[in-house]
Amino acid sequence: MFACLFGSSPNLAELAREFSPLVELVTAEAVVFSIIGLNRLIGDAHQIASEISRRGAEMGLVANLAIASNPSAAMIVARNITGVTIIPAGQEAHVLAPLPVEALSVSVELSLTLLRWGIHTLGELAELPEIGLVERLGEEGSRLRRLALGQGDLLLDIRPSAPEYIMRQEFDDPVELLEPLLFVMSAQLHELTRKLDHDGQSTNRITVTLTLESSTFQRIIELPFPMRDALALLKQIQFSLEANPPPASMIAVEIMLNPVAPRILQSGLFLPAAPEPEKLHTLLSRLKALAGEDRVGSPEILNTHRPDAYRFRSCAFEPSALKDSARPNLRLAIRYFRPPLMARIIVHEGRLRRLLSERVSGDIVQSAGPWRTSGDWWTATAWNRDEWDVVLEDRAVYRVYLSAKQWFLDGSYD
Amino acid sequence: MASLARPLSSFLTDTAPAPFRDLSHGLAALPRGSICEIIGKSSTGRTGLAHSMLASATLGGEVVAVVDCHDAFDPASAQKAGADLGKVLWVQSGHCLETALRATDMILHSGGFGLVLLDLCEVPGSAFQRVPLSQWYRFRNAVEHTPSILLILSRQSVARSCAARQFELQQQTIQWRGEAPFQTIQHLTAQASSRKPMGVNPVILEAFAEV
Repeated sequence: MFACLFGSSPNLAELAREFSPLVELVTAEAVVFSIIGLNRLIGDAHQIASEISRRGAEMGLVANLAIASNPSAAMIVARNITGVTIIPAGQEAHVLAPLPVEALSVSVELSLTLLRWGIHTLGELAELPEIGLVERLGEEGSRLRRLALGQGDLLLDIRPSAPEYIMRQEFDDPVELLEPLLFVMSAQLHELTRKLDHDGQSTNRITVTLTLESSTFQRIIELPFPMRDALALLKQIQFSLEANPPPASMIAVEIMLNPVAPRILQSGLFLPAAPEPEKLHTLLSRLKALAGEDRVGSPEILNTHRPDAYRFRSCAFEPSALKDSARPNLRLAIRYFRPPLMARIIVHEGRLRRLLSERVSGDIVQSAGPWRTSGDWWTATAWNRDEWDVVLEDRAVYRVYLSAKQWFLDGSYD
Repeated sequence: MASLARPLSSFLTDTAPAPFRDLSHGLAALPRGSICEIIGKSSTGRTGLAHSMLASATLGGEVVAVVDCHDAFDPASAQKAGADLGKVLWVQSGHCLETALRATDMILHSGGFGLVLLDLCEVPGSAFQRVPLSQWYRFRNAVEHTPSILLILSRQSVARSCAARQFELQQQTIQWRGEAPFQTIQHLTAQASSRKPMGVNPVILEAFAEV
């Protein structure tokens, strides 16, 4: 047996799912679901219809309900007969007979053809000989006749609703410390990740909602790639809550994981090892907590001539093969003083004689320069300076520059 | 007629000590699973040499980490040496030795990095007296039996007995190009001698400046 709900209320599917897991959302206004087996729980078709109506009224729904032996008949009746209709098995044709031909949702052209033949109701359509109908209308004619007889063979297209990965835990007493909270969260995460694993899913977003004594506190943690390792997820929550602790005692915790398809990665046997993504993400979080959010990452050189122009970008290390295109070579590097050190340079007869600064001081035995550089004058990061390379008496080579009448020690060659 | 059977010694390479290679061999001079040190004063080519090691590792497809105690690392110099910056994890410890050591500890225990460069060049010698020797043993245990190398750059030896290799660089000459005073550095030569193991002939390294 099948039931069909037809109406404009938005929660029809929710009502149907309270009675059956086998639900098809045919349109936004029509829901068909199987009620096979409900007779053991509720009773006969009339009792089932009564129960569905009662629950629908509780939910404030207004809809037509039809119960029939097949989904097609239930759908036609629910669309065209107001209220509750129960079609006993074998009585489908009798119930459908008075309905107009338009109840079958036929095309306008076919509807006009049937009208010209003098066919106005499903009962008249059902009385037509099948062979003659097929000769004139083809397979569509046979299908329409079977529907008019209440013999539709529609199969339910069941798509289970997306599972939700939410767990909520209320505490007997308010919790103030992070450690007992993480203990509870660990159990929740293990349960949620077990569900994810069962469904073949991973998560890329964790939403932690803490109910405080007078308000709620929410943290949303975006993960760079899908993962479902409970310990790795717990670490992310721990770092997030340590960086932004809740302002008051907690009386409940709720964790919601956003399900996404897991990451598929093909590794090679002969590729060098790289940090495991889960471990790397945990490591980066720990390093950022230790050194600072803006002090950890992969360096990226900016597209400018400004000296020491770089920024950090997020790390995403993937295994890769050997590159033969470039060979490493031994190049003289510069070591920057960040920020540049203020310095004093003693100039005598136009030559740089002595360098004095907080960290480096000494007589200058050789100097080269000045080399004038400037740029980005249209931005806030404009620079304009004269650079010298100086060699001190200990043969260390430094880069100094003069900017706005102030000497700076920029770095050393090494 | 050559034997098709592998000699027994080939099965023992993992436990046998790595053969010594001088710094002219680049990254191959540093044995895997050990602590190596490059020590020297300013302008002896320590950093350029470390960058060439980073380049070798990243070109080999490995991921490397740079723990920068005094925020002195120049990514542009490393890139010019051939390093793939997309495979570099850079941690600035903000002039704090303790942060640098803790960051190194986390990276080594996380695993998966082919080379971890700990840059302590600007740290004064007195600061190392407050670092217990057990810290370096902890690093050695973390890196042992892994394919990682912990490379320490400093003015003086800091890991002491925990280091498997120690190389010392001393500046030899600085070659300039152009007419004074508008000159630029052409290249720097340095003598690289092995302090551990000792008794190995030093080699001369040439670090060329950007043209």
